[in-house]
Amino acid sequence: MKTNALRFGRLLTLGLAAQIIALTGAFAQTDGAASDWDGSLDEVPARARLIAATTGVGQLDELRVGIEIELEPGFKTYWRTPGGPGFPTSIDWEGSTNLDTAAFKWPAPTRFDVLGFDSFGYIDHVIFPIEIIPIEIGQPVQLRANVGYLACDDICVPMSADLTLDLPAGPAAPSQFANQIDQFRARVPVTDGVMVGLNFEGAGLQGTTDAPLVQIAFSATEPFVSPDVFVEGPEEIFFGRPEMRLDGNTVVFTVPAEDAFGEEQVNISGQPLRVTLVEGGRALEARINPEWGGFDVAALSPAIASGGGVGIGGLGAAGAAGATGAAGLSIFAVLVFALLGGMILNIFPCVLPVLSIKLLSVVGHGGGSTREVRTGFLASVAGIIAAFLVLATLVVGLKAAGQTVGWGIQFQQPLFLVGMILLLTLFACNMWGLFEIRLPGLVSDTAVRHSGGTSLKGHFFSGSFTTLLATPCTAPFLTTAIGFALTRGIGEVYAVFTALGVGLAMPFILIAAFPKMVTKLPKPGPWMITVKKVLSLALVATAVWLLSVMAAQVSLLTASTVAALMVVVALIFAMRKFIPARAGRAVPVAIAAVAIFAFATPALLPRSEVASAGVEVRAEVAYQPFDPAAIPALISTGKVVFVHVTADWCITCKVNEKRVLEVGDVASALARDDIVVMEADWTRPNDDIAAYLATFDRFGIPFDVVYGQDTPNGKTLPELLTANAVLTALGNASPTLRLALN
Amino acid sequence: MPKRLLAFLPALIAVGVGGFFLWALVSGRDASILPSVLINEPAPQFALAPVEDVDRPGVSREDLLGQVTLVNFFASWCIPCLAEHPLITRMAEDGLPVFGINYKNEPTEARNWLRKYGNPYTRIGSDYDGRTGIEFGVVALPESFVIDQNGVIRYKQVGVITPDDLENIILPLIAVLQKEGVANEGADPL
Repeated sequence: MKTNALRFGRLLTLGLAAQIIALTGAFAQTDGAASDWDGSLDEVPARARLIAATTGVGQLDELRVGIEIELEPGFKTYWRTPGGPGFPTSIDWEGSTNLDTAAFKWPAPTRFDVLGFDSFGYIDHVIFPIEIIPIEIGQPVQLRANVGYLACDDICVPMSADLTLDLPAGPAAPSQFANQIDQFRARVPVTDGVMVGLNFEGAGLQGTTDAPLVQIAFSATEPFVSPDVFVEGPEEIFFGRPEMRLDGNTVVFTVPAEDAFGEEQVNISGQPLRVTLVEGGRALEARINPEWGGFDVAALSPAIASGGGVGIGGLGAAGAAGATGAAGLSIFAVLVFALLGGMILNIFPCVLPVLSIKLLSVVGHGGGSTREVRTGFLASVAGIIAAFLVLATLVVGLKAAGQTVGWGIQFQQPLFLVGMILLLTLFACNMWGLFEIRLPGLVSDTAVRHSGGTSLKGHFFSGSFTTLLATPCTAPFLTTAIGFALTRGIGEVYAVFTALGVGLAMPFILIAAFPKMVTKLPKPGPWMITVKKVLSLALVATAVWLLSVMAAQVSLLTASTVAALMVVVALIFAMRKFIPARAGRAVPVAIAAVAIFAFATPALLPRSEVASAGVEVRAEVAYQPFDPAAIPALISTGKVVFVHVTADWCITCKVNEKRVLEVGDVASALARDDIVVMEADWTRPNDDIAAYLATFDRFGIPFDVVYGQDTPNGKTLPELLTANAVLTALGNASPTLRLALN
Repeated sequence: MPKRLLAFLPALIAVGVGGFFLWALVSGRDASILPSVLINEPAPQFALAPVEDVDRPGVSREDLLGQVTLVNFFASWCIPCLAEHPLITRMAEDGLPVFGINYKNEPTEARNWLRKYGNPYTRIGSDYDGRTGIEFGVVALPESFVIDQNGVIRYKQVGVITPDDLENIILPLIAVLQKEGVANEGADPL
């Protein structure tokens, strides 16, 4: 524990210098919209300050401020319910003037572990958004906050900060903190699930009175990636770590409850509980009074009711405060699932052709030596597993970067799709016998003619290729295993992906173990040509399937164009036989040219999105860059301008886009020539956007405005858009639109 | 060249003046921020009332005299305190007087905590406002002090007592101190 002593002993050396820099820096940068930090992290493990979204009070009836807490790396502070030992942040506004009410908001918490105890709170940094209602609008507001909070790592330090911030009378110009405060406001759980695409489905009690289980179900508009639930209730009830069963867009949590003071019976039936669902950046809060039975899981998800779906077992926080050991899937069960899932992938259409080619190549060896077969297949096994490790690394990296990850995300990349389609086409042409050029590396492996000439590298890459082809397919057990891995740590991700790789490589491993199985196959002969032509068709089928993915992801036009180009590739190969040998040298060049054109297609062609579900046609809204200065000129030429301010962290903005702006009548209206749609991306702080929002006395998003001849100053829309609201606002903006839209 | 140096002058003055203010600011608070160096110093004067409705007497400096004691600062909100609780309990069971100082903690919460996890302490003082903590230079929990029979602090543990610390540092020290007897001042602490 010497480190802790040292941690606080550095003050007179490093600390002083750092504090001077921190404080002088703070004075220079905050425009008066922030208090000073109450300390330096070189001296104490946490510090706090008051920040405001505006530099003045303006005529605002509600001021947005926040308490920002910065913690030394590894330190945490607590949510309103700490989960285990700990205490929440509290504020005393004693001494403030012109302050009527201050509504303190809790951003959705993270579950973390302090010395084996499950706790809920915030790691490293948090801003608590606060809505201030002044007594007298337009008068200065003087904020005096005594903030008490707890910073814990392997030691706990109760902190107390006296913060002072004066908001003067005068214009409510946006401060540099407006964006950050709004980012954390976006993380505060909502009660109206529509705003974040989450829905509370129901709750009930299971188990017995001495070991009750609270069952809570939610659904989402998009498949869950890593949901978690936090249950709060009367202080005499302790809630353990939830067990979770996941089935795509549905999740059911089972939370063990026990008496916090060790009584046998848990008085929970009908008790008011507050449950908070957190899924990535979105969070929903619901109030429940669960009763025995009370909720039918089977009606919601037969898969979950029958024990399917992803089970995430309660690891049970160790120690005295430990949760009851909830039964769930252990990591070993998940690894078995991953292994099975990987094996099943082999018989799915995306992988089967590759496996067949591989087998055929062995036959091509004319029943080559046992040793040769074994090393070749082992190299492929290595290739498969290596590719899975690369995928795992990508998943870990994207997760760390806060991106949503899932199986097969790269198939949303048009360039990746084109590449795969091109490779498949080349393979197919090769198998059909249209060309027999030995291409280097990866392709040479499947250029099966050359017995014994295949390099280990080739085998390795054909394994990796198998993995890539497998990614768009989902097999039973597979989603279970991956879903589990995605909600866990780095170790679990790698373990599950390795197991998947081993599963997918299982046929290869079997052949490597018993090479005689294939060396005994008949000698190559005319029958092989027939088999190869059949396989060639299988490859074409796979390519067609990828084209259909592309049609869904990018556009039908792009997919058709790429398909036509692939036909051109095949024709070039076919024509080769009928042209002079000298001209034949131009073939590779021609193929390369077509390939480049194919890669350019997704960029060149307009991207009109067709929903893969095929139910609702999604029109692509042509967003223009945000340019408020251009709006008056546009209006004067009779146009209507729709300004949409959005950000990656603004879930409701995304919900508005998916549910309203980019679908149905609204999308077709916004696609009109006489409507200009401007998109302002406020993901990162941006002075222009903040200043624009401030002209409407807004300091947060979602924010949408319609301008037209009849509404030249802009008509603001509600935060949660409806098609009706948007169409009405568009109709009210200009006389021509009113006619057109009615 | 001198011109270039002159350009730094305002910055230097700013740093100097700022430094002075900060020093003044910080030095007024350092009792609550810095661990005071109390090793081999007599334990500070304090007298704490018991935690309400907890069946243990309070603690004062006088209670430390005549025996080797472990003074343990704890609170119900402190997970690391819970982590070391089994070791504290073991030391108490082995016959060492363990005095608890309940730091900045609501009495009801402290009571519930002791009820739930067990109460190994022979005495517990309620340091609700943290003033005794300041006297001892405590800023972070848990923190423990080994105090000899003369009331002199001989060892301080910042953070959780690990089994390793207990076996290799604390128990051997206590064994030595217990042999030292009363009024053996000036002895080498370790």
